[in-house]
Amino acid sequence: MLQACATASLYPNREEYLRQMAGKMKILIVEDEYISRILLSEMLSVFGTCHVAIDGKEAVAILERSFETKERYDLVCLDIMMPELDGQEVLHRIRNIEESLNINRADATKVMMTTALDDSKNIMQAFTKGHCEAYLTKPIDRVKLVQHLLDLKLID
Amino acid sequence: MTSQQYIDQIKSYLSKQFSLGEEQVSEMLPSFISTLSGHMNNLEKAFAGGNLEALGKSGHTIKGAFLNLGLTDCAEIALQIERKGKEGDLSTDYAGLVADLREKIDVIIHNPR
Repeated sequence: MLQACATASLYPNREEYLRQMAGKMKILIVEDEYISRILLSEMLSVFGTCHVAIDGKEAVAILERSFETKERYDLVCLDIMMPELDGQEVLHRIRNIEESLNINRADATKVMMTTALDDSKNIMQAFTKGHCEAYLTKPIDRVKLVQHLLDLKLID
Repeated sequence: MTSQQYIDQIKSYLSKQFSLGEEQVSEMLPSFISTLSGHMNNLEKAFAGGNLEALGKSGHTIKGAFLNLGLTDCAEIALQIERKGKEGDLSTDYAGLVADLREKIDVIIHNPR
């Protein structure tokens, strides 16, 4: 799996750091709300290439294709409440695909749930059943987002 | 609040919360305001349709947009619509809440730059 491994301290010049980081990570943002989608893309685009899906159904199609072509995503940011298929179901499908391909937990896709819900039940379900790695509540906090990327060792 | 005060509040929030430059914010703002307007139309349609679950979902969507723009007073109203709609609560004054939001949105969209 691709891992962004540029170190900020190696690049005292921020522009140079960002230039080196661009394209290192492949990210799928799944979000039905336009403003959230744009802001999340804006924040994450400095760390890699961002693709977007506007609902769960589109996300599943994109993810299935990425597994088939062996061009997997390093990070999937997944909104919980969406039309067609919700984020919990998309997460379930991702884990099913990985299981069918014998991809172990260590190599599984990193999934960060994003939600405006202050809903412990939904978040617990994503952790326990779907094995998501992190969650963010809206409004998205840039500092927390970067901290999660560090914790998940997607950046260092 | 006046239209300009809302716009200044949104610009300041986007700039601080997401570390966006003045130029980026100015570029994004018209599409964000247009999106808000669309969300508001959907909310009114859901209310007119009398389906509380659909109203709750529309409330959820517009709440997320308000939160991302730092419009917490509007997000509070949207949250009430979302919660009560999803509960199927019949005693809530949805007409009043939707009208409150419409009034605020109309002020905001009056000056999207």
